[in-house]
Amino acid sequence: MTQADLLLDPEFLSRLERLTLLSRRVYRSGLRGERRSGTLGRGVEFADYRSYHPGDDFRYVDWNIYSRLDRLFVKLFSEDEDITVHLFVDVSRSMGWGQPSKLDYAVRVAAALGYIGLANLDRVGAVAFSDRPQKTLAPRRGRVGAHTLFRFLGGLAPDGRSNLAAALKEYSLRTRRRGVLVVISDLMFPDGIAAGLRLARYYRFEPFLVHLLSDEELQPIVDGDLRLVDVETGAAVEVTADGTTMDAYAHARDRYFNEIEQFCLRHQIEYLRAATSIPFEDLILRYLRAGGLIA
Amino acid sequence: MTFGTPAALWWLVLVPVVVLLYMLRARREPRLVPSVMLWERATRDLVARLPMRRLERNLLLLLQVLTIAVIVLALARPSVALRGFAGDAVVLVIDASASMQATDVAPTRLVAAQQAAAALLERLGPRQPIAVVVAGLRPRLIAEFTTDRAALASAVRAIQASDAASALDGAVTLAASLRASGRPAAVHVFGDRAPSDSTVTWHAVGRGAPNAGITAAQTRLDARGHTQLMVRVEAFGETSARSVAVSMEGRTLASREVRLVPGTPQVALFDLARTSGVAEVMLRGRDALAADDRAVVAVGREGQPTILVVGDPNPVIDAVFRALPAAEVIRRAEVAPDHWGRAALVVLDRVAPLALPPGAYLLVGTIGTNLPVQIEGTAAQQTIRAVSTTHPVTRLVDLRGARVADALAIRPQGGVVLVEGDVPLVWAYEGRGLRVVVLLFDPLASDLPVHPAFPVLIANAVDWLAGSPQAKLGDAPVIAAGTWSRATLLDPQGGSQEVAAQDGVFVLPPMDQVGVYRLRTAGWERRWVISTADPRESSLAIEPAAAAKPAGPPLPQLAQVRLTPWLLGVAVVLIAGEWWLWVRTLPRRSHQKGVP
Repeated sequence: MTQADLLLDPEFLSRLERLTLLSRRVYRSGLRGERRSGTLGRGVEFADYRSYHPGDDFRYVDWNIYSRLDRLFVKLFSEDEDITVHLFVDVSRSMGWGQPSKLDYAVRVAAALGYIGLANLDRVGAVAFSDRPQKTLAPRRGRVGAHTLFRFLGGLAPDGRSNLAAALKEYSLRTRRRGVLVVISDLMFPDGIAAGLRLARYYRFEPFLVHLLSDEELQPIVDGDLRLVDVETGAAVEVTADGTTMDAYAHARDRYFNEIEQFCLRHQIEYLRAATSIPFEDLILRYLRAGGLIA
Repeated sequence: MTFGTPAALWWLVLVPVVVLLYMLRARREPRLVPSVMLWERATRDLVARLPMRRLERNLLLLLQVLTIAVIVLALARPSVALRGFAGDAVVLVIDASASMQATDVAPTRLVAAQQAAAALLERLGPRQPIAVVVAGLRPRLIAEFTTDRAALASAVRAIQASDAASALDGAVTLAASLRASGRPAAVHVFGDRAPSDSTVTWHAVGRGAPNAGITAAQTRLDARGHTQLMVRVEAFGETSARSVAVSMEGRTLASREVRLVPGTPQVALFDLARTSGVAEVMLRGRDALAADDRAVVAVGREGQPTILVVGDPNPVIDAVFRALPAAEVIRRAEVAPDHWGRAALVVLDRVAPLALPPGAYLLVGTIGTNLPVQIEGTAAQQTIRAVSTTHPVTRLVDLRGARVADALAIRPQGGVVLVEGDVPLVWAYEGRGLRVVVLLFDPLASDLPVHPAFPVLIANAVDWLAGSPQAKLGDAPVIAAGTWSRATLLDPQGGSQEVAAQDGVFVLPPMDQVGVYRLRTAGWERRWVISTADPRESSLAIEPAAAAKPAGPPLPQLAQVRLTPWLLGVAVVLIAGEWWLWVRTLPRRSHQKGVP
């Protein structure tokens, strides 16, 4: 058993197989998939009627209606299509923080979501990004791709500074496939998240934000006069960690979270914030289901 | 504001130390964090509130500095005089000094003061607690706070003037320290001298009058062995012609006319030949104060100590004491401390070491087991190398070069080594009720008896140890009681009081009257002679009140309020405030907006 296999235990994997990734939109990949889409086409499940137009396939004409109404109607069926899931995992240096580290947690979340997608014959690709896509795993389909995905995710290590916009821009230019873009990150982007997510929308991705935070970021345990040094940028801030300062930190934290929530609401982006201290299984089986990413 | 312990204010140096520590504390410790993004946002918010933040931080420092300052101030025991702070209680302070016997107001100043105090007692409300303090030689509380007017009036009437000066300010301090139901009392002083405390009310008695008095009387032996009596007489206020008469046992021995001019003391000398006894000196003629017109002196043998020599006959010691002036030299072979109290000096000559009862001792070739010395054996063939030149026992004594065949080797833990060779040879000690001179060798085993300085050494030792029966006003002798448990003290006025032995000694009350005091037991008697009244009491002028306010229309009383309890209360409040502020600045747990 490799390290990649240890990301998820078999029992948990079997529970994941009963889940499905949800998408609001249908992406034209040219290949029919296992997912019932809103597109009416050549599926097996009846959906509706419409008037016959010259050129329509005679095999779909409903002759029973023609005999009763003396008009030609064509039967319409739901078309099954596949979607592509892009797992966009932040591997910047700040993701190495926490116990367990945010990156470890993010890798397991990505592995679980990827496995759900693969089990449902969706196409699943993965990208490890910091200020640019560091490593990329091309989308693949079927359970056979799970081992490759797990090995890819298991080999990730925190490094570099983070820039979502730059990484997304570069990735969008590399790939033609559009689909669900699951960004798993601590969102500690000095340049913010707005530009990156707008870019994702522009390139017709359907972003889903999974915001991971360690307890130390939610509630820093600091006291006294300190010089706080950013592990990514080396920037320093001098603080006196008294009650007033901690109140200010809590206020700034909540305001930042609120900004993200408002942005996501305005741009119809699903957003889920989680602390790495909550059990991983709960996040997948409860919170992500409630968040509308999986069903 | 006055301070009881102003030296405590030196602790204020802690204030700059605290400020310095506060400045040094600002060194920042570097710490890695995943991102400073939120911290930067937080500090931007804080910058907007920077003045308030600075104020909070400085407030903490300010509170610390204030707390230290208040505690230091409390340690300095400050007090302030506040009007209207006194409760209903009143303390009457009656001056009982010698000048209160003056008759410039009829019948005497003391009686006038007692009447004024009684009148005030009448005026005060029946529920007001009142205490009485006598300003005598030492301040004395003779009636604690009570509303029993009859008992108070009786206590005031019982006060008698002494021949000494009074500790008036001490009495006022005692009165100001008294509390009735936790509140200070108003202090009223009745006397002829203004107290220095401005918060008390002074009821002046006396109008001021000219006076003349005996301000000193001393005797000394001249070369012929005659007693010379010196009497100093002074006039205060006006010139007068008076006569000085010396009498003994009712018989006038001599008299002399003197013309007294204020500011010029007159000295009269009387040759009393070889008379022995207690002589009375009178300044004849009337004036306002009789107490200083009389002096008493011990003359001849009466003025010399009784010496008890204990031990086997010793030709050297016997010869020396035969030559010394002494009222009586008693020799006893047996060691019987019960009878030692009758002698002013006990000489223990080569007796076995024993624990010494309180008293004065000359030890010859022995040691007291209760003296602070460690005996280290004996030392042979000692040559005297050093003699103290400052101690009265070795004044005019030079024994250097004298040799001692055998001496006790001791290591003193206190006292003074007066004569030494390789080891201490003569040692003096004073303490624990003892005054001791120790010759650590047998004079017969040395060449000291033939040394001309030896009798001088013994004479000096006797003077230092026994002194003379002539005592000073205020002396409170401590006498070895031996097996006696009680004794009777007779004062010059004929009064007597029982004195009980405590821990083997009779502790006598301070002597404050001119005349002869006698301490009697069934076996022996000791005498002390107080010569003259306190010369400071002879001037009967009434000085204007410099500080204390004279009695007038009733005003809200000034009371000396001690601030220490209040300051300690303020310090507690400050510490609580500082704690609250500190807790407020501690990091607090807030709602975690991180869980979905």
